[in-house]
Amino acid sequence: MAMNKQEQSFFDKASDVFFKFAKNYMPSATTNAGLAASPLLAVGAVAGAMYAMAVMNRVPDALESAYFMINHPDKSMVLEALKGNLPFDVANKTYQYFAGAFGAGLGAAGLTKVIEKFSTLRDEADHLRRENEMLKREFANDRATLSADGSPADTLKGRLESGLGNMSSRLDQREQATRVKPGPGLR
Amino acid sequence: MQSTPTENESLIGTARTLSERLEKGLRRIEQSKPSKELLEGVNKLSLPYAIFLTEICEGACLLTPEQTREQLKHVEEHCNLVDTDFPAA
Repeated sequence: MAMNKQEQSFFDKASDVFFKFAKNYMPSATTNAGLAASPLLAVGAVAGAMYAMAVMNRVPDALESAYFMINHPDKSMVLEALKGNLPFDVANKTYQYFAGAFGAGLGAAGLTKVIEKFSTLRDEADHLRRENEMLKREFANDRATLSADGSPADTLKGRLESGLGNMSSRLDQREQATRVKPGPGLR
Repeated sequence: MQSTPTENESLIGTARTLSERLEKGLRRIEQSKPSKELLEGVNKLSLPYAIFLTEICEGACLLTPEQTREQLKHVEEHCNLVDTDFPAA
């Protein structure tokens, strides 16, 4: 099921464009406002970037993280990430950050409009919607548990902040790497 | 920064055009019998684009017109890549 050469070459190019787009939704001092305004888009952007990086780097753990929603349709990827259960550390850290945006409330109703226009993306949007529903149901409990144990470093906020910028710096690395040597990407 | 009505209309117009191109491109990729890995990846990349375009059309995009245009350029770049590698028959 791996990509053939042409597919890989196309996907590498498409991923480079996507990273530029997604970067504006990654956590940073300047993008936090946009993030809070559109957490759904932000999570979608992270899922896309994570998948693209996993494919480009051919890290088995990363790929497994990317496929998590497909292999575990009954589990919330974000919640598993919050517990540190995803095999790929960047995935964990990134999702820990984005769970903060979920906490602020997610406009999932907007997805219906997206599907009206993009019927090809129905399944993908469903993943995101399901993720959101599971999360809303479970996030409150999980947050209560996390903040109950009191130690500041281990509060959700602390964990979210520790993940801040991680994805962004990975994208910077990638940007620099591709600037020096354009081509099939980091391997 | 407040956008003028004309500016707004032009952004919505661009978003509509790109929405159609994105959806058509996705269909062509789907029909190319792609590997699961590619299809999965293209869908993952396209959903945020689709959400973004929909936000613009629904007036729910909170970026400045300048930022919106900048992001639209990336979506257009994506559509160009798809048109090149998966051309319409």
